[in-house]
Amino acid sequence: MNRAREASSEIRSVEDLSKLDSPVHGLSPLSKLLLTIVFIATVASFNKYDIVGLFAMILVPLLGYMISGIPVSTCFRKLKVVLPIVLLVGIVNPFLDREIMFSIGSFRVSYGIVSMVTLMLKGMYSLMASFLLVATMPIDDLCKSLRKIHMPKIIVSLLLLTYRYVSMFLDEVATMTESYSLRAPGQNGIAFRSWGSFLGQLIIRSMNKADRNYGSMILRGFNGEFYYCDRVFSKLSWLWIPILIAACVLMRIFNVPALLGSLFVR
Amino acid sequence: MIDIRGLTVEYDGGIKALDSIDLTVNEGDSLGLIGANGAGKSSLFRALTGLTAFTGSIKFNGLDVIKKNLPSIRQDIGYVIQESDDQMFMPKVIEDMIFGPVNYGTSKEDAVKKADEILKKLEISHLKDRYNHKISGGEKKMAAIATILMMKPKVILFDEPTSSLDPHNRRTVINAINGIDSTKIIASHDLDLIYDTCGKVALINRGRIVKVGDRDEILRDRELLESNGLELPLSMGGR
Repeated sequence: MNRAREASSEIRSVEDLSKLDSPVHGLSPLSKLLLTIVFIATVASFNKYDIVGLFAMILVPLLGYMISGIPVSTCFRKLKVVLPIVLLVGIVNPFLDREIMFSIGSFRVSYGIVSMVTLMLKGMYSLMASFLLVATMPIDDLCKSLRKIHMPKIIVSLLLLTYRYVSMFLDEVATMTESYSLRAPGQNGIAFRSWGSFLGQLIIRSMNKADRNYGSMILRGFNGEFYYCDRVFSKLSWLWIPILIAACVLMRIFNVPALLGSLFVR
Repeated sequence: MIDIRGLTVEYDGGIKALDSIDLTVNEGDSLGLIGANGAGKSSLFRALTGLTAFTGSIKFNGLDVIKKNLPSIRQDIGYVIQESDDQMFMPKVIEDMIFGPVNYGTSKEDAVKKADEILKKLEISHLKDRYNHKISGGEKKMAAIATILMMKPKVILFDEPTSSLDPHNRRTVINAINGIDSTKIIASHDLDLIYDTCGKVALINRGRIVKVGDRDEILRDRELLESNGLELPLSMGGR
């Protein structure tokens, strides 16, 4: 399949995940947004050598994935392009910080290696949490939450339209690249000399399409404010939030793996 | 109902898409707007709905098509765009259908009820919860018509409603159009479609109205049609 079309269908499949029915999907969008922010902030606040404490934090997103019925592997599969970039963060640390922290047998682990792994884990956890948020919350719900916290309607509409437009844009790219490749057999991708006209055409086509879409919207009374989904969320869902935030904070303050370990090892 | 006087639409570079057009459409009319590609049919629709700038005057039910009147005029004019993809911008068919009425203050529950009725009437109830990107071209066209019917428009503009449809879907769309009571203007170069759906026809060429008359008078005039880049409808012995 054409890569652009594949990307477009990936986006739509994430939207399909967000329509599933699970206790996590049923939580109020605002509470999920808040929880994700708190989780990422907590993860980011760990000391760069506190690798053991950080291990416990994976429990939060893992629990979320388990309850939502979304396999963790889906997250890694969907984020296969971004994950390596995140994992590359801190790759130079082992070369800059060579002081030995501890040894495992004859293998000496430097502070640099530990900080590299810590950074990788922080990035991975943040991505896992963000993906869980997106995969359990339709874009309409997200926009509605943002409007509830008084985010200006122009910004929220822009977010929604951009999200919607990304799929259409990718479809347009797919159509153009397909028709290009049909008349350029044997070429791998688009020849450099054609980039200018290709991008120019893409911009013109996108603008025309956006114009027609917008025309169709204003003909049906659009005045800048979208109506968003009216799903009613249980107030009980707000109960989970202090519990989960408390869990994050406790895991930040207390080194849970070390505490658990001390129960068995004196 | 619609009174157009001296309508001119000029695009960048001085190209006149419409050149001093006069046209009257009465309530209950089903007017076919025929002409070759680039004749100015879509430009006329865009001007009627205030989507493109023009000179001259267009009156809709006595109201001038000017910026301050557009919200109320657009409530009464439905425009089925040629490319259904451009019209269906919400993820699901039902969401697209209730988009207009909710924007005009109808409650969501009432809009969904109305949508159910229209879907049933058009015999496409099975599309209600389908994603727009997952339905076929013919289904999308029917859904696009449904979104416009939701607005209960007094006039519906159809821009090439049967383009790229297979014979079965084409027939379904024609039946749907014939089942609509509103005033209709149908732009197409599919003259068989025009013959099946319209009582009155306006022939347009290079931005000018060449002739307005009864369906049979115009659609049977081989010489007139051929001199304006068209051919007799197949049903009348055209090639």
